[in-house]
Amino acid sequence: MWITEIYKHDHRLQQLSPAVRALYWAPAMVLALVSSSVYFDWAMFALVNLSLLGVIRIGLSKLTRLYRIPVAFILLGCFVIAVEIPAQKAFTTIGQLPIGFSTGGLQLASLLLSRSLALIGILYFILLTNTISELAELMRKCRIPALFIDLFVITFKFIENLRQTSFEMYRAQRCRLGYSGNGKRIPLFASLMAAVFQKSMQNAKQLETAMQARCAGENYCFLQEERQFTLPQLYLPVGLASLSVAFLLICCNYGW
Amino acid sequence: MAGNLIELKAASYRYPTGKQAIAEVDLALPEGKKIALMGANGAGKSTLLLLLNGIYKPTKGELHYRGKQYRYNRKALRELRQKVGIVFQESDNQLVAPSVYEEVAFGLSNLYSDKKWIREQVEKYLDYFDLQELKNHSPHQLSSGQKKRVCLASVLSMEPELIVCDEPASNLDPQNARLTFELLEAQNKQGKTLLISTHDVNQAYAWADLVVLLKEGSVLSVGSPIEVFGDADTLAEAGLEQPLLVKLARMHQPHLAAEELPGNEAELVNRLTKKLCTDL
Repeated sequence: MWITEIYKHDHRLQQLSPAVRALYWAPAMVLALVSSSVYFDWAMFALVNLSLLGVIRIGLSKLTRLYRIPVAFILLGCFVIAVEIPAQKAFTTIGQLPIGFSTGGLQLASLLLSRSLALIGILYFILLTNTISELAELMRKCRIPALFIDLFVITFKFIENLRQTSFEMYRAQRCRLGYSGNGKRIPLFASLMAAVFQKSMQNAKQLETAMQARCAGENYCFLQEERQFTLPQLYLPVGLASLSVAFLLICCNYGW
Repeated sequence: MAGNLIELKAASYRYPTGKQAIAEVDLALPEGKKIALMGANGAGKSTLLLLLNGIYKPTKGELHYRGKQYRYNRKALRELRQKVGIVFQESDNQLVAPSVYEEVAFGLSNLYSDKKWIREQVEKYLDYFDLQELKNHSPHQLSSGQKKRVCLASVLSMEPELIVCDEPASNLDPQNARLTFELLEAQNKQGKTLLISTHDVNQAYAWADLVVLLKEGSVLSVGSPIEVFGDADTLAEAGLEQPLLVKLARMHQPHLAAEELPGNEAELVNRLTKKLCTDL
């Protein structure tokens, strides 16, 4: 599952300017980063996902599929942190080595898990409510160096190009009964990768030619549709940010 | 009388790999005409189109725009690329922006800084190409016909004098192909010069004012559709077939001279009906 496959142009924040949209995710991101409360992070994770379901109107199954790969990596990382070798309270032994979980490791892993999930949720929120050009424009307004922004846009475009090409080629191989035998899988996959990179380079070259033909310069210039700003647009994000800050203070105050 | 918009004078282009794509081409493209560039695969059509837009610089020879020699410095190339708009064969290789609106605004944003004017221009072309409802969509999620319309809108919004289209009807169903040609026809009526690369001899015969036949990077023949398509031997040499209308007319009258060929279907039907009435 890829972001570009489920991105909906008609999400509920579409009429807002990217700067106003940033008020929804920027405070959330800062609070998730500074918080040391597991409860707050889980609450933020839940809030962001509920917002994703409501704002983007994507199905729960699609949203769950988005989390599969990052969650797999995070769980693996958290497991490594939580495990203690040799452990004081072992749940198993391998040879002479007692393996178990340490209390400190478990606490750290739980904090890491909740914080990572909250941050990934916010990242998905950003990507599903903004186009890549809107993010680039926002970065430009934040005075981020042009080289970094161009690198960001180019990397995104190249990954997208690579994804599209590999999907088409993989499908073509499957149609010719590729990957049907166990012995063929690895050589076929290797040839797919080689062909995908070659084709992606060709596509990127053609895209560059097409951009040059329309006078593209050194920077990527995209002009978004003008969006009207009104004060009431700020009420909801400011309200949500205030509630989040209050909840974080409560969590810190009670040592949650 | 309108003069020539672009002239190629003994222009050649060799790829960095050493392959000669265009060889000593002399060609003049008259202003305000509908020109069909024809030839088999690998004849050099796409390379020629890129030469016209200044993407490729001829390795030998000269190109002139309105009598002035092409210059390949940054400023001159910007002017040239605004005047010569190119629509590529594969829409996916042209679409770069994340939304239709931004795609249409892309070329304009590169050329001008007045955002208000750019937005007015984008709105005008979104209306013209019936793309208002799709303006927030990602271009990659559109159908082939819609993508082609977005590509045309993004190039035409720059208001070029010469519109160059590489196989505009490829990957399109008949209805969308017809719509694309209607949109181009409307541009020609506004005085724009059209240059289209195509394999479709029937389309070129019915549509073009001037036909350029390419073979292995050289111009084999230039003339009106009747002149070029009336010459079966030259067409065969270029790897093309005669249009259906010409074939039917010659089935009816095998020794029909090129200048006597019917200009369209109605003319052929009239002739056949007249012949039938006379025979009866």
